[in-house]
Amino acid sequence: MDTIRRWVQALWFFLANGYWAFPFTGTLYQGPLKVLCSPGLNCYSCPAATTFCPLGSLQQLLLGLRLTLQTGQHFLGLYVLGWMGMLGATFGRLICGWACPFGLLQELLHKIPSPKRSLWPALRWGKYLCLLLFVIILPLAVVDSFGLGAPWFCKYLCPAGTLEAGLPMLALDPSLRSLPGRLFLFKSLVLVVVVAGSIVINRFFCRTLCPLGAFYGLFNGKSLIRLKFNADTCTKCGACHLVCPVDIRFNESPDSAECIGCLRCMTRGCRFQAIHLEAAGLALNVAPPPSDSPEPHPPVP
Amino acid sequence: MPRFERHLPKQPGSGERHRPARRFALFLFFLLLFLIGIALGEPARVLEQARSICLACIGIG
Repeated sequence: MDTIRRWVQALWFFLANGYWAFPFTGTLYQGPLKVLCSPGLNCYSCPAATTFCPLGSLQQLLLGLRLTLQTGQHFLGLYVLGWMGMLGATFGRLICGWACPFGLLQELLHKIPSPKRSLWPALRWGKYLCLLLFVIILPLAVVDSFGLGAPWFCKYLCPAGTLEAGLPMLALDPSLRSLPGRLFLFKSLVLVVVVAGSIVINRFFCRTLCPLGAFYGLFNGKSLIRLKFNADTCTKCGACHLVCPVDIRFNESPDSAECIGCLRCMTRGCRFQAIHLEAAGLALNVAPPPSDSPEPHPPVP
Repeated sequence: MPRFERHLPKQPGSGERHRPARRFALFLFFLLLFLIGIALGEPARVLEQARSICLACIGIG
């Protein structure tokens, strides 16, 4: 299942970044596909990006809300919020595990041999703070004399923007190379911290700072496609704890907002059919038969 | 439902509090927002933004 997931992640990476003519044209993709929403975090200023980033577009609509209302337009961000909500209500955070290019990058970084650490649990709240403060409140509330706000998350934090758009655009366009200042230095530092963090802690950015993950996490347990736990067949052996890349005790919190839906607990952990995938109330059996599973783990006290 | 069943402890992850109909309703709510957004002409605005490089957004400008 991990191999299939890696292929699906790679497929989404290339679907969201499918414009490979940019080294020759020197510009980013400007075709009609950019009206479609990227399910995962993928900067739309990336020269190869073929879709829009939901976080970037939502901030852009919110920061200009006062101006557009004054001019009689009603761009409230409902189109983008609708996209995000439909994706979340269908898949929950399965999107993080299967369709996020930046998530794929972090997983590959975590394969680099190094001492591995667990995440300090309090840091998980950071992503909700980012969603509320940097994506919604600050772009809406802090405005200049023209009534325009700023895309706070993109501008000050987003490491995907620095990696996928900032650095490639500087490489592509020599006229931009005199522009980066302290802000770009700060954002580069954030990127370095995220890269270093991802090597040591699995999915470091997703778990601590990603507002999109925080949003999709609100739908875990409420989405049409989700992992379902059967307490009747669970033996509390703890196998699901051992294989989880984001340190969830699935049998204790099956609807956890931290679960990225990698399905390891179902396919590599549980031998007792206590975890299965459910789509709109119907059970989908994608778990291997018990004979293919590893030996049972000793019960965890 | 027999009265005593109401007091049984809830199993974690029984998941029945979010029945499929409620999950469809959640999806339909966001579909409605999406359609209102289209009616307001937001896709053209999103496309316009996504087609241009926002230097300030990527920390360069």
